[in-house]
Amino acid sequence: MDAVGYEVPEQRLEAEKTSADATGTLRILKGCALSVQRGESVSIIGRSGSGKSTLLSLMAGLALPTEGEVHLLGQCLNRLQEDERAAVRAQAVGFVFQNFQLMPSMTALENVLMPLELFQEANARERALAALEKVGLAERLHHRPAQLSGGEQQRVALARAFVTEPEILFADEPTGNLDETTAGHIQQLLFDLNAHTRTTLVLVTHDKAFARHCQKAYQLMHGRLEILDDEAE
Amino acid sequence: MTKLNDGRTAVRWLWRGLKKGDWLWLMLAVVIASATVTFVERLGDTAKESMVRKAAMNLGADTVLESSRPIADRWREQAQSLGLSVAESQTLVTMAQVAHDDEAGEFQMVRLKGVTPEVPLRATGGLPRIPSGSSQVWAEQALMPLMGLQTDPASRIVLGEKTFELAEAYTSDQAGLGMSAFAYEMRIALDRLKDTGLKGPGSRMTYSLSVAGEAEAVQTFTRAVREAESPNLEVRSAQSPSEDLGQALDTAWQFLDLAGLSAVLVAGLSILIASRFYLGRWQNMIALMRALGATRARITRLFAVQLMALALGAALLGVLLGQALFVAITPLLAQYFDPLVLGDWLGVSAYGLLMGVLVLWSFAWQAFRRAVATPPVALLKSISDAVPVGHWLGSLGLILLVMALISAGSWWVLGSVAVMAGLLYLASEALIWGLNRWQGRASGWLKLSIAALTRSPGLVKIQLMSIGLVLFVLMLMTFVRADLMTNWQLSLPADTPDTFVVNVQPDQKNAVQTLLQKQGIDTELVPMARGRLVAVDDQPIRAEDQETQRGKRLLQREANIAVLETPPDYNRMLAQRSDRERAKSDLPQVSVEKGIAELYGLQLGQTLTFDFSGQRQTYVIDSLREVSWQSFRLNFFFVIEPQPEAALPISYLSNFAIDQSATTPQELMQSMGREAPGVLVIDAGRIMDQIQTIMRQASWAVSGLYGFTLAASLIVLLTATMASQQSRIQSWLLLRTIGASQRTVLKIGLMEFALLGALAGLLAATFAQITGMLISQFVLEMTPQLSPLLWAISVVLGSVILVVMGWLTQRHYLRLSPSAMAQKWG
Repeated sequence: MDAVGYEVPEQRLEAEKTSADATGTLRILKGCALSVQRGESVSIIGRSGSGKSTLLSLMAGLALPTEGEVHLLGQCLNRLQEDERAAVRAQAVGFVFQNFQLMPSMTALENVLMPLELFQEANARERALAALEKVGLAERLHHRPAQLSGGEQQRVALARAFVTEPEILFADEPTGNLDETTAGHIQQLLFDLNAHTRTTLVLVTHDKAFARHCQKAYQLMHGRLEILDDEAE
Repeated sequence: MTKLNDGRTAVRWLWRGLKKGDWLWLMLAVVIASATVTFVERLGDTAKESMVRKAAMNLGADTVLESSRPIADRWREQAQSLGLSVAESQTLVTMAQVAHDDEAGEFQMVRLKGVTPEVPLRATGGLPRIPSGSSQVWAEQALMPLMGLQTDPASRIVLGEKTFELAEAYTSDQAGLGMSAFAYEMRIALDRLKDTGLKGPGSRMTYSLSVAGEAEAVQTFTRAVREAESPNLEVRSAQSPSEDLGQALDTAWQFLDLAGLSAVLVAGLSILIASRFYLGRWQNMIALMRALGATRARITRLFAVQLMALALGAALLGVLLGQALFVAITPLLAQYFDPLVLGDWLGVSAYGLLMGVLVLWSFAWQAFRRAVATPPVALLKSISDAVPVGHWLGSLGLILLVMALISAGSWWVLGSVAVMAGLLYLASEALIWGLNRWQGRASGWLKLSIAALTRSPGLVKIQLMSIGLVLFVLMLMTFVRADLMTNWQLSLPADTPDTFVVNVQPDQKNAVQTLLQKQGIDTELVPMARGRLVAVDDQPIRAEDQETQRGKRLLQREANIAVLETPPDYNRMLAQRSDRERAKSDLPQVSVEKGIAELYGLQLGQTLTFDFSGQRQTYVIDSLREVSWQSFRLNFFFVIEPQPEAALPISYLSNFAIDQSATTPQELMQSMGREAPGVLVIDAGRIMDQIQTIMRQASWAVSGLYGFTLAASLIVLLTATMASQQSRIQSWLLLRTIGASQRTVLKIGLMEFALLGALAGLLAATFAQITGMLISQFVLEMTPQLSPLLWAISVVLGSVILVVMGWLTQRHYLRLSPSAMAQKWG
């Protein structure tokens, strides 16, 4: 069966030169190795700037490592061209972002419809309506992001992520911009949807409690990935 | 199938966006571009065609070939093979006499024209069509009182050996060229001309072949005749009916072209600004789509289809708007253009559509290219949305290329715009540097206003360059238009001479002078001799060696050469020999007109030999002069120094403005006929009326186009203020949140606009002044005028326009509470 596997032994990124005495090269991830199985929920925790988002972008094939290999759905992403990696994502990947990444000029319904229409999926409207209903926004279909609260916006983003029924969902600090209560609701919703759809979940967060809801939790420190160790924290 | 589905998806997304007004600015810009181009082209075409038709009516055809020898049959055959209508005529100057039963009537010099039944090919109703073999004669209305003619009972007129019965009088707008053209005209059937016995070896016949028809065929025919370079054939076309009119029309055409190009540029700039506004939005969406797995090719397709559909839809709307505007002003046009020939609507519509699409793509191309290249990782890591200046210049380069493709021959405009953009960029760099320094010293709300401007220097540079270019185009048009108007008006002052007296023999000089004084006309009779240039520096100069048609023609004819101690004071002296050079030669002197000097490569100190009726005289070139041919004053190619010992065939001529309340050219003609037979009185008023009519039409078209470009430019300025709206409102929000009063925010906001407008105005005025002067000098060949007020006006105008626009577009946000502002823009 398909396994979602990651082996990221080492990652180097060219960083922008920020001052005259900077070397210009910054090693962000060092020998990270991670394997995620189908249906699993995995969290990665780390401080700001620790490289969590970089690791997520590598795992999703949004960027490539300078060293090492990344396998997604049985395919080695390093050996694929950008469009081939896009094809892999198109088959089975969903995203949720910290800043929601909703299109400001589109209504909630149109935002959810977008990925369905992009791939010309059948019954797009019905499916989008159902997804929004699932996240409790049946009454806010025609509101634009600016007219929704932060929590509502993230719910739209969740509906958009799940409406394509992805095999794997990448969530980058999905509650990072929300207050504690709203964040709690969104976390609950995320895990409910995940359980319901049996989607593999890769979650990046700085919230330890949120991270522990996942079946496996890792922490990223000094560019290295380790099993989350409360004592060490 | 996927591609088809992509097309559907793209159109669906576009339609959704349109309904919500997402594409409003881009759409508006394309609509402006297409509407402006359509309107300007349609108006320009109509003005041009109406003016050409008017000129054609004056000419009686689209093109006329004239020759002193019979015109070769091959030209008639070629014209007919091109589907053109052909008419022929032969003209000679002769004396006409009214035949009375009891006594012989007065003689009158007339231009007798024998015409085929097709004449005139182009004219209003006034001119007669004369059937072959007719034994009647038609006389120009002015001859009726002059000769005491009547139609009931019909006067009989003796022309050579035949007597013709007067059919009727006619009025004519038509005017020929040359001295004979000023005599009034009589027309008979061409096949009866030989019966008069007036055609003979000594008669100075002019043979004409007139053609009219489809513009393209006429052009083909005219080109073929000109290329044949037959030295005896003179071509007159409605496009440039005479040298006087030609210059005025050329200037008008150039202005119309300039207006059209300005419109495209102005609209293009609004697209450039609008596309920058959209770039950030596209980048977010494209990054998300790529993260979701859409390939770059697919995204390119989806966006290209949207942009293309938008371009086509908006361009179509613009074309309709442009056409509707044109239709709306048609009644007004009819008052100015008679006849009104409406330009081709279909071609102009297609052109407007094409221009809308091209302008959108060329100006939005860089933003589009940049957006589709957005990496998916942009969702996780912010990427710069700053648009490098290279992007701006790249877009400008593209639009210049498009403009170059559509306006071959206007490279100087494109070049000046390109140079201007480069200079504006450097100047805007300098201004930003200055602003930064000013900000350091300023305080309070002024400091904040400057800070708001310098916050994103890239954007301010683009705004400065765009607003600067728009203002520059406006200033340039204002400048050129003012120059056109001033020069045209100056060239025809109220006391412009409208009557000429020529062929006054030395023994008639006193009688003519006395007669003119009696009529209250104070003028001097200028002595002249008719001569032909035959040698330069003692080397024969031959017509066949000349490259240009004009060069050949002028050598084959005798020229009117003034015999004066000094050239007329209304000629501008360009160069003169020094006293030392004068001392070297004892030859008499000649002053040469600049155009002739250039035509034959003549220089000071060279000698010219003229043939005066077989008598050769040599002169040394003492000076070069510039002459205003449009002034209707007495102008000569050559002015020679009088030599008592040389018996030149001198006659006298003069011109003056006749006081119509004291006498008329006709009355003067009659009394001159009695007192000094053989002296010709020429009424030039008709030619001047034509020129004035055409200039009035041209100046109207020029003003109309100017107004439209002005309106379009204001909309571009509006889009320029909108480009930085979001960041501006966010900073206002911050100020309001930390407790700034509405009044303070208002002051900061409006000051920002005022600064931007003033700086752009300063740049624009400086460059407009320089370019305007260069254009006046080198392109329009007019005297440039410096306008110091231009700077002040431009700076004030720039500030006022931007403040008003800023107020109109931003006042809503200035009044919002911080929370409402945050909800809308935060």
